[in-house]
Amino acid sequence: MLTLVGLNHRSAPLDLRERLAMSGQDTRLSLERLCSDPAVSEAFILSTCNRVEFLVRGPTADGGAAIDRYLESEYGLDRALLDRHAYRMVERDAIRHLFRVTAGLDSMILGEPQIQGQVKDAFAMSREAGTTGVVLDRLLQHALSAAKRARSETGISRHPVSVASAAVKLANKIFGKLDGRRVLMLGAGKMGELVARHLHRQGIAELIVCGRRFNNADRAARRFGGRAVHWDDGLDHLRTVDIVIGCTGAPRPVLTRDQVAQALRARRSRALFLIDIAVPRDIDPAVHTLENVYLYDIDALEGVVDDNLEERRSAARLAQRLIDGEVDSFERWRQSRDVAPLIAALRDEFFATGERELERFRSRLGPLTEAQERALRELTRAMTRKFLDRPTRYLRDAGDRGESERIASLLLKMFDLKLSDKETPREDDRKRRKNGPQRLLKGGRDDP
Amino acid sequence: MVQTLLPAALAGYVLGVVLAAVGTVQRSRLADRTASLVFALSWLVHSAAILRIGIEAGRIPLTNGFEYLVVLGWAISGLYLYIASRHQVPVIGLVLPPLAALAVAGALAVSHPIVKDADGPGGWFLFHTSISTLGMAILGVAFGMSVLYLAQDHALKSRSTPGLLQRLPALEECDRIGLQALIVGFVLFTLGIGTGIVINAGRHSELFSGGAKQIFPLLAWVVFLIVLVARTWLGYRGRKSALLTIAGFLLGLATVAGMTL
Repeated sequence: MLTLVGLNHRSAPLDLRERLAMSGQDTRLSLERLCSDPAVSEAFILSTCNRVEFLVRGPTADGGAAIDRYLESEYGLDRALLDRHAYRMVERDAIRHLFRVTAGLDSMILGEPQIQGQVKDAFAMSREAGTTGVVLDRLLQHALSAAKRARSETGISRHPVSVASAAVKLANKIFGKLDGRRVLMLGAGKMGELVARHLHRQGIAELIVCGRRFNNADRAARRFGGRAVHWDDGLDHLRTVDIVIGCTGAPRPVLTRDQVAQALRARRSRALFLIDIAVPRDIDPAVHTLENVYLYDIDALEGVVDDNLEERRSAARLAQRLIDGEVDSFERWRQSRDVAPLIAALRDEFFATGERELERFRSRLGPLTEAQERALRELTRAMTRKFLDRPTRYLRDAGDRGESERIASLLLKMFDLKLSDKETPREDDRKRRKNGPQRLLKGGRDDP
Repeated sequence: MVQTLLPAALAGYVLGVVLAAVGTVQRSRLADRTASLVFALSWLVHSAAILRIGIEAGRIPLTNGFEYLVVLGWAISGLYLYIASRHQVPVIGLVLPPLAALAVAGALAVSHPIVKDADGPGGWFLFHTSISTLGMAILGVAFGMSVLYLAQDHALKSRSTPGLLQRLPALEECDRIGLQALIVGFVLFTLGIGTGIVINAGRHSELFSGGAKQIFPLLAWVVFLIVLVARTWLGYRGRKSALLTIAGFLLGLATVAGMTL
């Protein structure tokens, strides 16, 4: 059963999301911890600045409880808090939600393009950790390709809006034209670089990148013709810059109200725009109370974007229809996958019956050459296959008609079949062929 | 004739403000353009009214509170048209034209009979009144930009009004235009006060008579001086500077209370 538990910009405040924010290594550990729960056989975690979502697949309906246990033990989030701020979805709803998220339809900035890359990265992380199996692999691949379709076939990508463009827009509202402005970037995070790129296009005079790892800062600075400075020197530049971007991975604020207030005196009250796109936040929220200082964190930035909103909403409606079709398609695959063990059992049963009947009549035929023996066996198998051809196709298509469960139950009773607990060999083979020697499911387990 | 032209100009300003408000709320370019056209036509009607007053009185119409308000409104409206044509400051149509409309409405409220004055006021007096009125009109622009600055600052601080944010001019643009207006307006206003003191000394043999006509401009002048000094030497800017500019302009306007109505 698929279960999704998540907190996003709509359901939970930023300070709660901050508590759950995960770095790459944290995500990997969390995935492994989740998968160590007997109720979880596959797991995927999406942690962005706007959301933290846990998607698990398990043999029972206890996946949600397993996530709750994990969140309580690791982050101290009790059930009552989760009930207030988290959403829970199972099966089709969970699938649909993941597809919507990947296509940017659940983003605060409708249709924003970054989320697709973030899902892709999170998928790669789950694969690396070996916590995705057949179903989540397929689900995530399908979600990504559906998002790609939504972007290329609807107008949602024709009106690109992002946190970065929101930041530029706000900077324009404070300073007017940005040419000649100086920007200080704290950290060299991906989102920070995106904002820096947008600002660079607006003709800023200088970009100063200040990072704890000088090499990373230098690399980021070079991309935009800027310069890197050592972390300890960075705050001196607060006196002269106009815009500060916070994008470090620090667990607590690196810029306090007192530091900014001190810099303001030297700035002779010139306006200072601070963009905090880090989660957890890099800049003390109290900084916003200072006069001539404007601090926008990730939620605040996205709240001001209403560019092309009507066009994006209209494109989103089209994208939603497309996504619904893709969800149906995935559900069909899942249902056909559900009947695969039944088809295999049916085939095994028919072949075994054929073999038994062949053995029964074998003695009446007298001595046969090896070629005759082989021809007889092939005839039996060919006849069995012919008999099974139409029922198999009927069974495979039953998913489309929503009848797979009823027909499967009928066939199980009619032929007194016992299904194997293991995944069908055909699927295992297909996985191996697809992934080569580096099997994806390193640590992942499938339903027992 | 004047009694027809002035109400017509006032109606035009009010209509323009309504259209500018529609343009701002609905983000309608058509409403914005129509508002600009209506403001321009109203200003022409307003100009015709001043011309008519001048012709009827046989002098430059700047000798009493009624004429001062009529000319002040006209100057503010003209400055609005000039700024709107040079800068992309759409929402300013909701600040300066209402100020012009208020001045015209005030003039109509105190409506003064046009007195023909064959001799006319002296050259110094005309210089004093025209320079003071123009100074106040330019300081009205500083006032308008300060209002917009405060609105933008509030929008940015509250983080919750994207529509308003989009329409308001950039903070630094408000600050820059406001500061330029403050400097030019302050110089003219200072000249106006200086010539006023000289005229007063000539007429009443004393530099300072202490009436509202002198107290309010002096108070306004002190406030503007504080803003300018604080800005220039102490780097004092932002909300407090905008609030002081607004206070200075309102004090300056109170001068009308001491005029011969």
